[in-house]
Amino acid sequence: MKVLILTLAIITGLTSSYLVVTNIQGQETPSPASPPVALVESYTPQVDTSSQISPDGTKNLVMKTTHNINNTKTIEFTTTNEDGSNRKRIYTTAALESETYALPFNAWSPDNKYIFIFKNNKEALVFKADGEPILEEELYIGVTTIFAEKIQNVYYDETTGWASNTLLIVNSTNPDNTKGPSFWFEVPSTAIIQLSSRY
Amino acid sequence: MRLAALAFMLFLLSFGIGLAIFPKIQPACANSISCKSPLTQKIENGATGIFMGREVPVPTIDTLADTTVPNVLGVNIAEGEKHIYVDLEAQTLYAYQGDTQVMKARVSTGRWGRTPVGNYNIYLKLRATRMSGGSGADYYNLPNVPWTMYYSGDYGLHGAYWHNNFGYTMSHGCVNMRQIDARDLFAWADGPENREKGTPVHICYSFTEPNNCIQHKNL
Repeated sequence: MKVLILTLAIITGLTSSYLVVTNIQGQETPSPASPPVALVESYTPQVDTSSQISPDGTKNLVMKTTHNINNTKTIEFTTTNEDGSNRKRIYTTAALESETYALPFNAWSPDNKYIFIFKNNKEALVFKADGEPILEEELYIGVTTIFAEKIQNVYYDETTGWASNTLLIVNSTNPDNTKGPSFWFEVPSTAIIQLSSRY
Repeated sequence: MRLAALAFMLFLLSFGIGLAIFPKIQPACANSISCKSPLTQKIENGATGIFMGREVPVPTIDTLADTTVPNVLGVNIAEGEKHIYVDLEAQTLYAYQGDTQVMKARVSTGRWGRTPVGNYNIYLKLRATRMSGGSGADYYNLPNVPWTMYYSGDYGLHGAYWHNNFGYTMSHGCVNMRQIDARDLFAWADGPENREKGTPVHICYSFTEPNNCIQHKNL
């Protein structure tokens, strides 16, 4: 009787250990037939989109920002009709993440022929809304740069919007940091005309 | 001699009273030329406008296409009294239906003429009209001014196609709006009907919320 019990115990023990081992192996040991699994880090770039409609509601200016993996971003500006048709590429540029681009509320000229955008907060760049160069071999006009070249006694402050189809309104700052006069910046001649009052 | 002194004193007294009164008199017109004629609807497709001494192309108005303009303001909002507030300091217009804000839009108010502060009601809505005034370099003559809602004399809310500088003063006293904003407000706001006054328009120095429209300046 004792031998029978001992034999049963041995057989039960062996069977249990076999089952445990085979179970563990089944779970953790890959089959030799399975291909090795390669871990590849995937990166889906974050894309931000903003837009500004023209005052008459017929056109749209779209800014699409794609954030790249290397702390840079790609910014693409396009114009379309209200329904998304007639897409025109205006400007595509690469920038560091620290640089900023924005669409002003008053971006569109009243006749929808020009648009301006902000770079690094207040720097205004003017484009033709159909994507054609605004000057010969120049895709855009840098209002801030030209203002600094032509006007010496005050500093460029901001571009507020369009006084007419071709006149941008530019505010200035005096050297003592007080508000300076306003100017008209004519597109595309780049003429600058000082005004008697401030906007 | 006494008479001369008395006359002089009376003159000084009248002059002082005049100085005290006249600045408080509201300007009669926003558009010095067109406000003299009846304020009527005028659609003049093909006409040319003048603003700041320059010719302005005038948008064509197709009244048949207006039937496809959807009402977008106040849709799905419970009935409530409508009010329009214009914040002169912030150059922003707010429209409320009951306690719900249905529109917030940048506007351009008086630069060459002031926009009188006060409480009014829309008394005439015109799809389009002609506005003219000023003189010399300031002369302007603008046909097809769209979505016009007069609230006091020829002071009105309307679309402006000749500039895009909203958020800054730019008018002769009216409240200029983007055409798309004026269109939506025009569809929502009421003119006088069945002896009811039109939608109230409150012009404020500053505005924070309904019943907080500041109409006096702290000196």
